[in-house]
Amino acid sequence: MLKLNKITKHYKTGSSNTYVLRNINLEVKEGEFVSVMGPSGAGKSTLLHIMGMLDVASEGEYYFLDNPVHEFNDKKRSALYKEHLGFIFQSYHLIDELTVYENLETPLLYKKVKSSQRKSMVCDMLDRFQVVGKKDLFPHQLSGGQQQLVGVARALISQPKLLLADEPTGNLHSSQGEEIMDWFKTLNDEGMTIVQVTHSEKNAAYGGRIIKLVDGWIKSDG
Amino acid sequence: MLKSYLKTALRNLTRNKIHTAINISGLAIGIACCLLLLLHVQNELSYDKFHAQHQQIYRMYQINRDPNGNVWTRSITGSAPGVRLKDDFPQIEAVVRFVCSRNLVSVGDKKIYEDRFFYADDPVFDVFSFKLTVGDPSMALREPYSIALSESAARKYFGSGDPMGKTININNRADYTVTGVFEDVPQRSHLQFDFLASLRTITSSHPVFNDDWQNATRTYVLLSEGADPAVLESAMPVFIRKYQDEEAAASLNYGLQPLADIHLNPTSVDLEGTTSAAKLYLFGALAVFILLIAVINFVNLSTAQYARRVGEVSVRKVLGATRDQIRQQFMAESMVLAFIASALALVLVELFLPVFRGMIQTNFEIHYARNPLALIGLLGLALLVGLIGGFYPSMVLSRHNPADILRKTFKSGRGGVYMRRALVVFQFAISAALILSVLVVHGQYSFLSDKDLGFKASGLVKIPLESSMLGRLPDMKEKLSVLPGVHGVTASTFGYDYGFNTHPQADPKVRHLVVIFADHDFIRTMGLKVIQGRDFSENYPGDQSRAIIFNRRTLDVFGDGFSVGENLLGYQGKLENNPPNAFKTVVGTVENFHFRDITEQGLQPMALVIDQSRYENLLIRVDDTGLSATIASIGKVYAQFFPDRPFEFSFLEDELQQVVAGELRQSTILGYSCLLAVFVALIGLFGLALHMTQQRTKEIGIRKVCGASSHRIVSMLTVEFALLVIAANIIALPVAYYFLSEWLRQYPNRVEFGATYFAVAAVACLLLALGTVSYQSLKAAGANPVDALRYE
Repeated sequence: MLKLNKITKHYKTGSSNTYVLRNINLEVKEGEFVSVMGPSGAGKSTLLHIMGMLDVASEGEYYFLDNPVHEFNDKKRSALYKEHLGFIFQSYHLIDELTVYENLETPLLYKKVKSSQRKSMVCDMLDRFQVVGKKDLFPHQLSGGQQQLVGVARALISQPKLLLADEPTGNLHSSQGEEIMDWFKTLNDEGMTIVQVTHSEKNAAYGGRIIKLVDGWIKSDG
Repeated sequence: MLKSYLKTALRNLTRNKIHTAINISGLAIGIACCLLLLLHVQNELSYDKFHAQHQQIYRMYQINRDPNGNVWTRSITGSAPGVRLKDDFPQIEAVVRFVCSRNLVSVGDKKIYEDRFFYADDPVFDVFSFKLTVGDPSMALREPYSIALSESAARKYFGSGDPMGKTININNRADYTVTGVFEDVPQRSHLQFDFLASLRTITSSHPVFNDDWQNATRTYVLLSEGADPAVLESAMPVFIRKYQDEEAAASLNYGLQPLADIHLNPTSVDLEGTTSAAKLYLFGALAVFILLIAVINFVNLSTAQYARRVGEVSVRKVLGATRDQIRQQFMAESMVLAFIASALALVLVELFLPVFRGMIQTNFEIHYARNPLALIGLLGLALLVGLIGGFYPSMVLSRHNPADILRKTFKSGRGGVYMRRALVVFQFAISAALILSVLVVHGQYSFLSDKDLGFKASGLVKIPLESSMLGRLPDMKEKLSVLPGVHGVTASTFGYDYGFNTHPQADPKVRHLVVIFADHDFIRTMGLKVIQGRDFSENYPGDQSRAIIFNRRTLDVFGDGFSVGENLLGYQGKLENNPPNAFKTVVGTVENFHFRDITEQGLQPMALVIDQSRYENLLIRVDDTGLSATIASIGKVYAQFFPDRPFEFSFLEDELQQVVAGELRQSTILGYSCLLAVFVALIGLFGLALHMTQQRTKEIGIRKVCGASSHRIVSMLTVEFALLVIAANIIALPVAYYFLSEWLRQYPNRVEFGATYFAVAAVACLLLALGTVSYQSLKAAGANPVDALRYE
């Protein structure tokens, strides 16, 4: 599904470079559930951003579904991204001014999906995540777990091939976290490819593969 | 998609109520000002265009040239050219001359002096589009002593009855027959009248009237379609030489002014319905300034909220929004705001229309349904404001990199801070300049109205006279002067422009001065101070025809040419166009006095000359005590002499003040604009201060925990704004000084504006700004630091 070749990411700080990622070689196959772990500042999030095409690597090659993403310009990258990726955040990042229904609808609006089709897709998602009764509520009227559930639903609504999650349970109580992780498991069983960043061994255990990052290097993979 | 944009826009607006209120109220004020201005300009530009043939109608104006090469133009011509033009030039289809005069109109018991009274040549209804509702347009003014009335004049004198064929008595002398009724003259006409009498009334009884080449009429020509007015103008010198001697022809020429241009480009001695284009520019500048300040508020508050919106934008980008889509969203938000503001502006326009009418002294109406420009203008303004207001925020926000949101420690950059500061400086620069302008303009006008007129204007009653009354004037004067409470009576005229030639040939120059024709009692009754020579006197019978008295200004201006220093006594000169008593001898000079116009004209060279045949009004010096009884007894005397004329009087002081009042009105407009501009700038500052203190809540909390006093916190928060306002003053005041000095230059008597004015403007600006900001600072400084830090 995706392949990283000698990916390096560094920032200029004054006259020297600060390395965030060094020589990352990684392949994720379709249907895998990968957990990225490591201490703070190890480069986990940056790796996720590069995979998610929100950030570009300083050096190296990135192939997504055999497309050379490192050669793509902004427009092509975002088209590819819009088509195949779903993102989930630690702090949910729902849009405060929009209701649950409208939050789910937004990605479809940007993809220019027709109104009638949009409606049925949103209703399916509401149904599937059992939040139909909350569709007209605003994010601040929901608990953290419910918000993250909406976040997951929103990431899935455009039917992505790859789901990227940045500490999805970081802000949640353990029971709510478990619910989200159960969802991830179910989705993975249905064939969804998932890459998550996590601090929790327990959450990492949901996936089949754990990559450990330390100071930008891959320390272990498997 | 659009629906989603609008929905978020509205929700964002309701979420930030203060920001929204500031933006909308500021923009509404700005848009309302612009809309009023736009409609006012439209109204001003539409003058005289209701005449179907306005593109072929031209007004002749007279160009005079004296031997010294001075050239001046007047809107008044003689009556002679009008009679001869049509025969000499085939391209002239018709000529209409107007003579304006004030007449006593009597119908039955009603006797009223009417100012809106014109005599006109009979093609007037064919050339101009004044609509006759009753009567035959081409025949109505064909006969002498025929007259057409406006509908309101007809109602005034004849009620609901039919006026056609009825008679109207004019000046107790002649009966005129009503031959037509016309629709009231539209406000957008520079010719304003309620009575239109046949000019043949004058020409049939005074045929010499048609041979006058100097004064009296206003001449309009209708050119045939496609005729070039320039060709006609170039033929004028030949035309004049055909009828006039060489000398006269050399000093005289005629020009043609398109009818629709007259209103905004008045020539000297013009009719009332004229204004100047300069005023329109002034209004325009003010409205644009206010709108600009409001739009700056808009941009500033939007960028200030940048930090909050950046999160939303990043999420939207992560959800697949393109830059264009983000831009569209912010544009839509901006548009929604602009359109709400425009709707509010419409309400404001309706509310303030009466005030505005009072300020500009025209009576224009707004009919949105009949005036597509008003709607297009409003729509255009809304779009423009929306575009400008949305452009910068949407550019900045859409440029944002979505990955920023995923960094857990997201920091709002300093981006936009410098821009915001610059814009605040700009706003307050405009405000400071306006405050200084208001101070100086107001200072100048109060300086003028407090100015010593050179005579005591209060207690002077003015009674208008007519030439037919002059025969009985000496007797009436005698009766009036012995009334209790009356201290003096004098007959005189308004000031008229004349040329003055000195004699003998020592100095052949023609000089211009203002001549007041006045009797022996003028200087004494007015209380003028004689500084050289003597007053007119009955002891010198020659004074009647030969004496002239100058004012001090004349000495200053003419002195050098007379070659005897400051003393003009005994020198002789000849008043132009006053042949009967050709040479005048200077018998005295008086201190300057402001008789005609407090502003500038009063300080022109001026001369007093006796001429019993010309007096236009009677000035009576009365006691302040028992004023009403005195006036009643004056009225009684008047009624004895002129039982068939209504007694009308006014106070000279009021009339002089009216001249200043016109100018004062302009300063009111400036005052209001300044008020609005400063208000809009201040609410913007309020919003900005609110935002900044909110952003720094945590910092303030930490500082307080570390022991900072409230006092320190307040000064920390206000110093930045104070510096911005001071910078604005430093930029604005010199610029304002330059323009105000230019403006003041038109007044010979001008107020000195020194450091005090600048200090007051700067301090006012600073205090207003600090007052606005410190409310927020005090609130922030007084807050419990624990509340600020709890959520971290």
